[in-house]
Amino acid sequence: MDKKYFFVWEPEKLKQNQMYNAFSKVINEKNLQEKAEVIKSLFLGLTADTPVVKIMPEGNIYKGFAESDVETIIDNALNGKTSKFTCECGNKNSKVPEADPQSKQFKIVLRNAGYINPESIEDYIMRGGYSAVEKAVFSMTPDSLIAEVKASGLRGRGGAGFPTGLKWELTRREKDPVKYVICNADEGDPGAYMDRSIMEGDPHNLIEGMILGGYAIGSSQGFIYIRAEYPLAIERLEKALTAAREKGLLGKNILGSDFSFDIELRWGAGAFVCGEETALIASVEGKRGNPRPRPPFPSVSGLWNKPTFINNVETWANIPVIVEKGGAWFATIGTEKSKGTKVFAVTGKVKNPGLVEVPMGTTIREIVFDICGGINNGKKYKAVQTGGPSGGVIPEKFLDMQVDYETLQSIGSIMGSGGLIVMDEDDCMVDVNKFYLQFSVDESCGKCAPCRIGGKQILEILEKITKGNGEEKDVEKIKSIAMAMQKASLCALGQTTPNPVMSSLMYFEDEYMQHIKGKKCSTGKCKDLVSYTIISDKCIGCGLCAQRCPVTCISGEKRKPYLIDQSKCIKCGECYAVCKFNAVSRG
Amino acid sequence: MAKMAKGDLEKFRKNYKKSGNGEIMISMGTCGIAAGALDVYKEMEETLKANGINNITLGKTGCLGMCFCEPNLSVKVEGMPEIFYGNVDKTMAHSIITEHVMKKHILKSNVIFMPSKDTGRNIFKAAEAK
Ligand SMILES: Cc1cc2nc3c(=O)[nH]c(=O)nc-3n(C[C@H](O)[C@H](O)[C@H](O)COP(=O)(O)O)c2cc1C
Ligand code: SF4
Ligand code: SF4
Ligand code: SF4
Ligand code: FES
Repeated sequence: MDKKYFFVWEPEKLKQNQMYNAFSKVINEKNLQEKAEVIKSLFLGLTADTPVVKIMPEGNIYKGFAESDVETIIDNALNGKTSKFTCECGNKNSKVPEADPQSKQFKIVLRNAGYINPESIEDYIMRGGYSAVEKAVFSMTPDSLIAEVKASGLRGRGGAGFPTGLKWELTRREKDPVKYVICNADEGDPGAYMDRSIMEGDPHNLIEGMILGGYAIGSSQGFIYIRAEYPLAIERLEKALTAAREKGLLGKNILGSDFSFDIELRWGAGAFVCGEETALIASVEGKRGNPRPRPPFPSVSGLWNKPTFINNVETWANIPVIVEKGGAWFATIGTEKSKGTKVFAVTGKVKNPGLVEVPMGTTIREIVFDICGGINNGKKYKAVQTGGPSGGVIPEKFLDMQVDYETLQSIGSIMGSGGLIVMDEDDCMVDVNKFYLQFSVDESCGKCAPCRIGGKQILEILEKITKGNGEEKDVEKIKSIAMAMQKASLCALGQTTPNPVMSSLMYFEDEYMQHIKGKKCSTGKCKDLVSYTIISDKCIGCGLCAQRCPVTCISGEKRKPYLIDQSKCIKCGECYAVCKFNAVSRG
Repeated sequence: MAKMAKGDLEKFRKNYKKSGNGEIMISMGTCGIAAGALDVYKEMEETLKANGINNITLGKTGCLGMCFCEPNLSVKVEGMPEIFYGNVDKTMAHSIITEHVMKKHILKSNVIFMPSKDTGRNIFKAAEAK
């Protein structure tokens, strides 16, 4: 009989050891060393109802059991039976048998990343790769392919969420015999690395998606616009393109059919605005990467004035699966208007930051707490930012809201490209927004006035507020500049620059007011608004703070209250953090 | 390499055999490499060679998404479940070969649970042939 392995997980070390010992004890007492082995493991991705045990090779996961149940669990497993502690921890938005019923994640886009050698086309083919191309060119018309993509309900993953099938149809309708297909791999949002991981982990997936796009609109040439800061992705894509050409899967007469399509890489120099589609097209043409007014839309007049469509890397990576499994299959995953999955790069104050892929409609609580293990260091959740510098915050009251394009928009944020930054009680909203504004101001191309001047003005107001010079009318000023920028900016960069500050004003206005009226920053992030003092009644005179102060501006005698020299204090907050007697006040 | 034509993909899948009876896959995206995956790779390559093991494939793969425990890798050895190790350093890399691969002892630390099953296999029937 095969040996059974019991992987025990529990977030608290002590409890994990206890549970591990409980398993060891049963195994030793019953002399099962040959048949069973217990292993302590790190993170599992399910926090509720611990402890958790996963039994291999069958892969059953049990949770919420007690030490007294361990013997039964082991006996059952050895006799091929299941126990009653089955974890029903799946995701209700992935209603297809292909999903893992015991996981919140469902990997469609990342289905191969981390499993195959991205430099081996054989590995990709062995996992079903290029079958979608074969299916399309030999048994589907371009129109039926577009119909599948439309039926899938797939929407652009680059930020705006435009229906992909419709975009393709519009481009197909154009009469021009020369058309182009572009992949937007500019990925410029701070904290985002979804696209990079797809290209580095599964480059053929993107290539296959683009071949299918080319077939659908009748194009023979595609371009991947990729940031030069992604050398490994570039190297792997180049290798993958060469391998696909050698096997006749790319280039002239794909798989011996009369369809020909090839792909070239174009490097971007890393300006954020070059991710905007009209600026990107200008950049591919070798011009300066400035946006231009639309219409005409690229579907009518794009690259070298030819009908062109642009999709994001993640959008492309969905296409082979849609063609293989059908649009209807894809459309059963997700919510009513947002189909399929979304990849998020979860960063910030979270225990297990990482790249996750979940069906649309998964809640922030499931992503941040169940998958990523919750907030670091036992701190309190404050908000997550989606959509980076064009997005907004999701406060605690929306933790259980289903995340999709519509719900995010309804609460003042956006899906964005997938960056998800977690903030805790120590993050100051005004300070965070200063960062986003600074980013947008730096990246503005300067072509139009509302963006160039408006962004700078909002940034200056925020700086003034964090310095303690804010006035009540500043909030109104921000709002009216924001409105002008949203209405009059030429491209989405300027139109969305005010989003983060507007969204945080919606939920954290009192925090702004605390800065403006009270001249206080309760998180201590805005250094001009905070001072540290020692409360003499509480201080026992242990001297720890004085030892830790980096500028040695705390003095005193042992067992007597200590004192901070305010003129030298740099407000680092160290004394506040180390005092065990709550004797340092921050205010 | 010969160009493929209609039907060749399926033929290829039927005839393809992976050599050896085990596989170690190291996450080597930009992220993994930055965390030290290259050193881990080299250490494993040398340890395999030093011990005359040539039936284990050492491979590179992309980012698995588990940033919090890089470098990470998976080990598949005949007769044992696939095991993931996280926060692997050179010493561990060495022990994974000498203990896990050679003696079939799973290391007592740094075993990671996979956040989900390999659903990619479920999505494409073709993959099941493997
Ligand atoms: C300032 C700015 C930056 C953008 N950056 C990106 C980017 O890095 N990647 C991307 O796919 N889309 C980016 N977009 C969105 C693109 O303009 C375009 O909508 C997208 O590539 C369309 O693909 P999709 O329909 O697949 O999402 C950006 C837009 C703006 C306004
Ligand atoms: S909105 Fe900003 S980035 Fe866009 S064109 Fe105007 S100045 Fe340039
Ligand atoms: S650490 Fe706290 S109790 Fe100790 S001297 Fe400083 S303020 Fe007083
Ligand atoms: S805040 Fe920092 S600099 Fe100021 S007294 Fe405390 S430890 Fe010293
Ligand atoms: S980016 Fe690859 S594991 Fe984090």
